[in-house]
Amino acid sequence: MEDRLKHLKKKMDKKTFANVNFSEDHQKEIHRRINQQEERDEDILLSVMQLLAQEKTGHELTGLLRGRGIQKFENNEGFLYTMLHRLEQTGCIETKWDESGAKYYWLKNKGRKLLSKAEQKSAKHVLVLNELLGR
Amino acid sequence: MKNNKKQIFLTEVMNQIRSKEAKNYVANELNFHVKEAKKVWMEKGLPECEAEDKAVEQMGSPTKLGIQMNKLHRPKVDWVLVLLLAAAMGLSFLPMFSLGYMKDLYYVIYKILIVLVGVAATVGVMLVDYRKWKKQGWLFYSIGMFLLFFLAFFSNTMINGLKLIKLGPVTIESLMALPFFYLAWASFFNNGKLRVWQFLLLFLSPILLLLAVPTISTIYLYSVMVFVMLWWSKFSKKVKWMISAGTLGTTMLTALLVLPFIKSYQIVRLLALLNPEKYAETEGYLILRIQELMSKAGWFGVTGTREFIPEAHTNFVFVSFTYHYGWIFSVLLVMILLLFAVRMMVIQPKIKDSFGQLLLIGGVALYGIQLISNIGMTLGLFPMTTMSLPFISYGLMPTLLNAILIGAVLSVYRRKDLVWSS
Repeated sequence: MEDRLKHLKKKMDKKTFANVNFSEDHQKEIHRRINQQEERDEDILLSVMQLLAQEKTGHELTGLLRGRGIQKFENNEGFLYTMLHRLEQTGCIETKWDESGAKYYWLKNKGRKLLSKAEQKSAKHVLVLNELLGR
Repeated sequence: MKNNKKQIFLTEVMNQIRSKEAKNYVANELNFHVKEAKKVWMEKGLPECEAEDKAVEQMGSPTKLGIQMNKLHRPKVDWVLVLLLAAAMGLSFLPMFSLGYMKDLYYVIYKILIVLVGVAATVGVMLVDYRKWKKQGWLFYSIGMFLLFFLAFFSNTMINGLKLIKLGPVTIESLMALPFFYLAWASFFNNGKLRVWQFLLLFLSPILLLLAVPTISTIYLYSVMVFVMLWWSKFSKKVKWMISAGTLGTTMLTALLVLPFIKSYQIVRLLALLNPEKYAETEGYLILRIQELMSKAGWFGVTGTREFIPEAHTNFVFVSFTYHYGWIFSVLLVMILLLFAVRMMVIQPKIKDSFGQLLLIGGVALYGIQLISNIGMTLGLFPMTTMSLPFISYGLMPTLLNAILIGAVLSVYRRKDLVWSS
């Protein structure tokens, strides 16, 4: 066993890691993630739902979330759509495509009820939100 | 080369998603997002290429995104309907046992084949994207008409005065045209461009052919289905009333014209339904006989003595089922069959696509009316006619009809979260 793994590190350095270089961009990104404030997924979800009281596209939403200081979707904007699609599937939000190819999202009654309950912050409703977050 | 980075990003997301329809659904939205983000960067003064690259970078890892999207948009199977279908298909073997058909190899093999073909039809139709049917209304209508035309004028077999086409072991009945008209009318109503005279022409032509077959029960199923779908369609209230009144008027007029030609035994048949005792020796006999058998059944069914039951494995399968297995089993059977309709009605509000909704409504109508009429027939509430109990009656055509219906509903359910435009 020992023998077989003997040259593993050397081989990996030569072949697998030959094309990998740790650029400055990578370093920056890691620092940014480290320094990123602890954001609770529940709060982000609440923000998204609050912002969807009026109909918006996903792109408009990213701008507004940035305005609220939420960094979770910084350089990660695609993941907003997984959250939106999950909300859509649970029947919390309604959607509509227009002719230009934009998809609009807005809060339905079910989502509105859930939001007002969650805003009152009782432990039970955090559980409901957890379900919406797909956990 | 301009779109390179974006294309690589989108392709990578799509590579992670297994469902072909979900791929495009997700990619379209992400593509739109990148375009918008690119505009913002260009307004900030970046050249076009750089703006797009920047916009793509902001999206994050395409692989991770694709994996999550794949999880969210996994094709959905409505297991409730699948389970009900399995239960109904299983229960459909019970009358075969009690009637002794299980000893006859021919019947057994044929029955197994019917079930297999039914299941294959359901799965096959489910896997097809129903949105492709949206614009094929005329195709389906033509196939339906062609089938009826062939039945009416080129039939090669007659059973009880009914024209059929026998192709080897398969007997084609007028019922086979119904799934095609079902799809055709869903498409016509979804377009909403139909004029009243066009509706009447399209609605009445199949009926004329069905009268030549002749089969009242298929006409009845067809008419109920079309009208239930009409009332759910995009037409205005006024048009719906006009069409309904127009059709009713035409029917009444025809009835008045036909009245002198109706043979007296046909009127007696209807009178017998209201008062079977008065016609106990003739037309009322069957009604009374079935009532007698049903009341003899009791909670647990009759064992030992075997009485003759007419059409025990087809039209009156519910009678033989109750007679041999008792009321408890029979109530259970009705519950399972009713659950199909209930489940479809539960799914219906969740469907956002108007065409999908029409398919569900038509499905509930066509399925429900068979169920209600067949049970009503055995309880003496409905005139005796050729009407099968969905999935339970023996026969390829009725099983296939309902299998296709359930397949269409499952196809709509499968794609309910992938709606492009409202």
